Amino acid sequence: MKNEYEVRLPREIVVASIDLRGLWPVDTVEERVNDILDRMQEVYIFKPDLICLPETFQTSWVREERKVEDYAEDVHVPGPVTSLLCREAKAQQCYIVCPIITKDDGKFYNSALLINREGQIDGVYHKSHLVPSEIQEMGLTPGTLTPPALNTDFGKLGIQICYDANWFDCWDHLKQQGTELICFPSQAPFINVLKHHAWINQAYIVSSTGEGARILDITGDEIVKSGQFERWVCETINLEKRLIHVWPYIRKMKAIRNKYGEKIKINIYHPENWITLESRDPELKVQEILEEYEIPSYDEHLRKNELVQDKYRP
Amino acid sequence: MIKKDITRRDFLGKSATGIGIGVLGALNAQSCTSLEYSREREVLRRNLRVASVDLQHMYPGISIESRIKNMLDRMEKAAGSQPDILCLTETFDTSYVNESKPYSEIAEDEYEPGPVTTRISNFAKAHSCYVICPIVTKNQGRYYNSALLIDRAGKITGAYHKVHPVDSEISDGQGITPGPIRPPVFETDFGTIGMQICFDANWFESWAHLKNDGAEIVFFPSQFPGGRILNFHAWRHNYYVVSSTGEDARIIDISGIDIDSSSFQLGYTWASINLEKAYIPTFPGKYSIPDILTKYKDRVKIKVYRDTGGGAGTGAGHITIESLDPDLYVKDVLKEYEIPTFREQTLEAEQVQNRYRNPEA
Repeated sequence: MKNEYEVRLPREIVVASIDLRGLWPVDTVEERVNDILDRMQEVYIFKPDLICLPETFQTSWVREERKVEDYAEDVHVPGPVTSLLCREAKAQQCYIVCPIITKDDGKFYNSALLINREGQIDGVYHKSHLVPSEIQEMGLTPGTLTPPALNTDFGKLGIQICYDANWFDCWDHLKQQGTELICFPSQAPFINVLKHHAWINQAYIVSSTGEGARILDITGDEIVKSGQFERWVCETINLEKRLIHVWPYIRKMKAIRNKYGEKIKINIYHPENWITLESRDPELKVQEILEEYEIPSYDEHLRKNELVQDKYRP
Repeated sequence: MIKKDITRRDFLGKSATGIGIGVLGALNAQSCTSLEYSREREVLRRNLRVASVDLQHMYPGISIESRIKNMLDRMEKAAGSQPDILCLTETFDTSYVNESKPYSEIAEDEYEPGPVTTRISNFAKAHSCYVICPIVTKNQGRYYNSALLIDRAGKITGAYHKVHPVDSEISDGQGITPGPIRPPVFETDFGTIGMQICFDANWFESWAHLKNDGAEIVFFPSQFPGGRILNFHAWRHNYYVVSSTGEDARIIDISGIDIDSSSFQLGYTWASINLEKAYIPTFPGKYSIPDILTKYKDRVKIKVYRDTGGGAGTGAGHITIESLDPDLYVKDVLKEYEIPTFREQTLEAEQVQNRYRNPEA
């Protein structure tokens, strides 16, 4: 139960992400897990709906060497680390994206578990694009190229991990499934690359990496990032937001503003020819406005033009 | 051995006097007495100056004639940067011009210079530079939103047809015809180039074709600036992107980072760019940097970009390495230190991933 005095729009959620910087190197897995749990405490005051942790957070840059089979955890029954995170998720009534090495059907994966508000494992993503050394030296198996869009009570959530950022197939698959928010646990920050994935997929991105935690808007704009004074981020984002092409729909913005006033927030991205529309009213859905004014989504606009192009292309 | 301090334009001045690439190649083959001689010429011609104009303060134009005059005036100013290639704006002669004429009156031939192309050709010849000349053209009874490539001798050497015109341009088949999804690339005396126009920015396929077909620079005449969309295409394919738009003109590095852009005051931009440059991943690239610097010193320029991402591993995102020495090819340095390019590394990784992938999990 969230704070009853807190006024939030129906599709507004509070997302938090934890930066690994400053927590490495450490000697033991136990130290690392405790450090992460400590850092998570910093964001609890904001009552987050979702907390994203860094890739393989319990073992990355930890001096203690252990075999994969000794620390990989089950994807269905919580192991030692997952249990701790399940406890936190339940206590805070929030989702946690928990990236650890897992085992499933005799294979090992670089995964991110989705733990729900009840503290149960509610989904898993296996990193699709492993670095070759993860396969050849650690014995990990790459996941499918059709990653799942995971259901939450605020919408569909996707996960991509680290090296995945250099490919587009999985991100596109998440988009096709209607994913609106993508968590990105990673070692490397992939800063500019993530900005491109955000606008290409028109999805918010929450990154939690070895060098920073960030929240990116559906346009790729950076909403917030961690730094030397605070190694975490926490921000409210509104999923009731859409991106459309500027032309010829810019002509309709005045009428929309006149009718809906402060109920709708319109931003123009001049160089890219984009417009974002965000509902600021609990009763108003952006899709209803688009339908009312016969404005297609960005992708529908491109498809509509593409049909004409293909029809007349020799 | 030619002098080390030979300037690029001295060299190109000779090569451009009525000769094309074929002759340039023949010169190398016939006249070179040493490997060094050949390489010096090769690397010199891989360094070039690009310039691009925007359309600021030129619209709305009163007439097509006044627009052409204004554009030629700006081109002359930009010519002070001694460009090897200059990019003009999409349909620069007619966009935002009050005087309206049907395509049948303004479309020009793609082989024989028409009224507009002739004037641009004269400019190209006078300044011994290539020009990307975006106008509406006609070819076999069809109209295209095109970008012509005019060479240093003022000759039309190629035409790109906009792949993705907006539906209003196509006008139910009565207007512009869309070009092929796989666009042509063009050879110049400094390297291989391609073009994309305006709305094309929103599709990815043709940009990928250009990379696969060897493009090292993609010119982007447009009405809309493109913003971060162009930075993406440059990073994605590790080629330079040079835009010339209604609002700005930009030169974007193979890393996807802006090198320069036009100003409100000038309306044009220019920069030296080096095609003898590679984009490499941090790992394993970073381990070889000390050795490369020790051995090659000022003969190479290495830049580590922390914030751009791309390579495997942590920390620095990627590295660019370029040769500043006519005797040194970047690919030779990479081979010597067994450093893959970013593209090579991801392709290699993909092969390993696919070999071991569990398609069900």
